[in-house]
Amino acid sequence: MCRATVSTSWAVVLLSLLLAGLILISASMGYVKIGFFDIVRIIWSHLPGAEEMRVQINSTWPAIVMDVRLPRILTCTAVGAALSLSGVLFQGILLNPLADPYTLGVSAGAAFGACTAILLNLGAAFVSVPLFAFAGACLTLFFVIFLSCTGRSRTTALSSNNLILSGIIVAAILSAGISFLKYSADEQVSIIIFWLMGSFASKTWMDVLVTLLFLVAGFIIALLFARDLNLISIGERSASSLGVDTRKVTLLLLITGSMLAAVSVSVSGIIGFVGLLVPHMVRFITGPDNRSLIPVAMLTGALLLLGADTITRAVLPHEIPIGIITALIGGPVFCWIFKRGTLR
Amino acid sequence: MKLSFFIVADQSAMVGYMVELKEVSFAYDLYSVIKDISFNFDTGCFYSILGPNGCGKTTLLDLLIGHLKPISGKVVLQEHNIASMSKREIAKQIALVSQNYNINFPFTVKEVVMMGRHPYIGRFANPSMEDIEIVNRVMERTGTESFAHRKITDLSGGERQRCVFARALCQDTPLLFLDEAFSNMDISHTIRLLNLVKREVKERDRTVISVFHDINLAAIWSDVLIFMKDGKIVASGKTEDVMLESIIEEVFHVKTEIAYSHYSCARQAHFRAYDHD
Repeated sequence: MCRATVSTSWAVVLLSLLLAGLILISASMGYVKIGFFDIVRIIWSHLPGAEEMRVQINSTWPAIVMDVRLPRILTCTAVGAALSLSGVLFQGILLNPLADPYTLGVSAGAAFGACTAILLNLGAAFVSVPLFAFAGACLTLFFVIFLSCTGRSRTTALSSNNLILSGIIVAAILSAGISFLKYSADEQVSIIIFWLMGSFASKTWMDVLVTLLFLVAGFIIALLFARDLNLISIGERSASSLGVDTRKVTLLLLITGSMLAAVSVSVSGIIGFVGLLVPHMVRFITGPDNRSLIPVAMLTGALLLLGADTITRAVLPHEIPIGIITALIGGPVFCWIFKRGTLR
Repeated sequence: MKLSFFIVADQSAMVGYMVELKEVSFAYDLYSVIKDISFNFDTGCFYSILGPNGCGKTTLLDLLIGHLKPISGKVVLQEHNIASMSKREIAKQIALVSQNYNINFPFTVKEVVMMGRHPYIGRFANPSMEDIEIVNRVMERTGTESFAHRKITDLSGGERQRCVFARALCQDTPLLFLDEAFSNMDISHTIRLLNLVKREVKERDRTVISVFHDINLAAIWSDVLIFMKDGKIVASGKTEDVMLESIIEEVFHVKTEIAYSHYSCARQAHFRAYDHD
């Protein structure tokens, strides 16, 4: 157990360094090429107490880095971590290594909310679309929880089967609703479709702040209950007889995971496969113990999503929605894992 | 005189039962499963619950451990109403080896067994030397140490059941519930674990409540048999007193011949194929 903790700390340190490096490299890439060390200097000059350094730097670069690239990069990093953490939580709660943040219909709810906002043409789209998406996700979550609580008896309430089934039903209804909204949207249909495919273009520091806030809160809650989640993931009856208040912990982690997914969707649209695949791959390395899995999966998710976003933003000739990239890379990887028969 | 008075007083304080069922009833929706059962479980005694499928055995264990709340009556665990105890408090008193030992995530056997120490380890603490020592000792005694570092998902049903058994023993509780805990184990491991548990009952005054399908195994190791049918206790008592043809026929609707086996040192039921009738 001690050895595992040590190797986990090394993995966390290594991945953090990699992530910091990738953030800097990503910031230097794009339409305007900026040197790696210039990026470091620009960021350094924006730290308090180093204002006099700014005069020495090319005047447009700080604006590009600080107002355009860094907010996008940091939002992407935070969303990658949030989606992975959310995936870890859902897979543990639903006793299913194949669950993901969207299993409970949270994404369908967010999409429905966003579509409604777009269709109603609610003026300041920058505020209302994410807000509607978030509200849609929350309402869906609470409806799914309400639905899965009315089981045959109190033993089956909030059981993984109930939750998955309720999620599928609600998502099916909502996706019919989304189709209807698209059908009646006329010329706005393209906005809806683009939103649904996900993007990190034109993110602001506000997005960074909101996502980070949820991420930090979610991370703390997840770490506090990591050992309880280990027990829940081996079965409710066992966990309960080992001293875990399963209903309380399940509800808390369910809400935490859904909030992370909701804020991710509302900031960046629907980005699939990260929440499914990252915890899955990381489990091969760290094992299923959530105390190691949670930090390593978050860092890995952040790295991968930032990598994908950098490719679509700075490497490809035209920007492709990030949701397409993650599905195009994640899908085949998933097929490969599936075929190897190591689906655990 | 004075001394004996104190001993008597002390005993009367100890008279409280381990677990008591007080007029407990339970129903899934309108379907009544447990019908007004009262029973007292003593310390230092091995109880076995026998009965046909669906007679409410597992539900009774779930009520006793507080997973289910009775619709009327109450369960008293060492003089506390179990409904008012936290899961962690209960987990320090009762360990359960449940029927379902399916695990979807590839924890190592040792990690699974260590989970038995969960109620004793603080939220931020790591397992203490004592925890590790207990886990090692239990794994050695249950014969699970030979695959301690294998993944639980790679093991056979019987091996997995032994791991779950070891986990329950690590909880180190005065009460142990076995819900068909031997259903997938071979006979040698079944006997090994039953002997282990029996020794705990005799030497450390522990209490075991076990749901069995094998009447003869139950008769060899149990001090008290409890026969259940349709959510009620139809007969209970010392094994040698209730191991009767009439009771088995009434509960299970099978013909049987019961005779004392000198080898088993217990009364054993014998069955035969239908066409001899």
